[in-house]
Amino acid sequence: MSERLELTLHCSLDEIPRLVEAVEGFFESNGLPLRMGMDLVLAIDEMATNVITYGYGDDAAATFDVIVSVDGSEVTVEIIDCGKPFNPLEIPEPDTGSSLEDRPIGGLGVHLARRLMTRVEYRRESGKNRLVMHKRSGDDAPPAAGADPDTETGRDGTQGGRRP
Amino acid sequence: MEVTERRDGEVTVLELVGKLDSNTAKGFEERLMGLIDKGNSRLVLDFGRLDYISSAGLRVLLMAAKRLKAASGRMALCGMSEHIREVFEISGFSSIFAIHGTQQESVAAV
Repeated sequence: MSERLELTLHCSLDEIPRLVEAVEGFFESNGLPLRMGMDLVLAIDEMATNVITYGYGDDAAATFDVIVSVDGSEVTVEIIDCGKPFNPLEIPEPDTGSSLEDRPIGGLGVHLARRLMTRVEYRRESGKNRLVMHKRSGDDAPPAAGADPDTETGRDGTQGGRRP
Repeated sequence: MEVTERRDGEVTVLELVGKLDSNTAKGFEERLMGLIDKGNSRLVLDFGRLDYISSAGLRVLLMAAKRLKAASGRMALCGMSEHIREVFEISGFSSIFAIHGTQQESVAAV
């Protein structure tokens, strides 16, 4: 079974609740396992927030698109926007092993999204940022210490995740 | 997000209901920091009815933990769903927060 959800949102953080609600409803109606759905909703929330915050600087007049599709046990999320070039995968990973005193505030959103998804790719094409996230059911995030999720790097400028 | 507050002896217990995300994080930050600044140094956050926490929410928890530590206070978290537990693991927060299964255990720990 293949299902699709397409949304166009204003580049305002006020739109995030609407996005989250739509995506949650979509996953529920497609019978996605709850935990997988929550992981996806969180990743979408985090990435969309980054697009709005860093790509546009919260410009309500601008819009971006979110396309979610389910194909069997794999979910694909595309976030497409026309903001300035911004690759969220280039945001440095936070040091998740540092102690409370040393832990900086911030930097977690992209890290969470990347670890919760099976694969995350970014491409800049035709003047747009295109972020694609894939999640396969049964593919849960590996433990925090050490392991990195398996990610791909394309030959045509797409970027996957980072290895230490 | 709704937050119910009650006292269990010397401990302030906050029960979070709904979502702690970029929308609700600011309000929760004000509430939590306000409690800490007023001298509530033993806190338990019950996540039993929390559906969702995003990095905005984690940020608030981190700020509160730092401020509590400066005030020689303690905080514990309990009742996490599997998904929220996973988020804490991935972010490394599970190693800087005291996490328990039940509210009772958390109250006893702080």
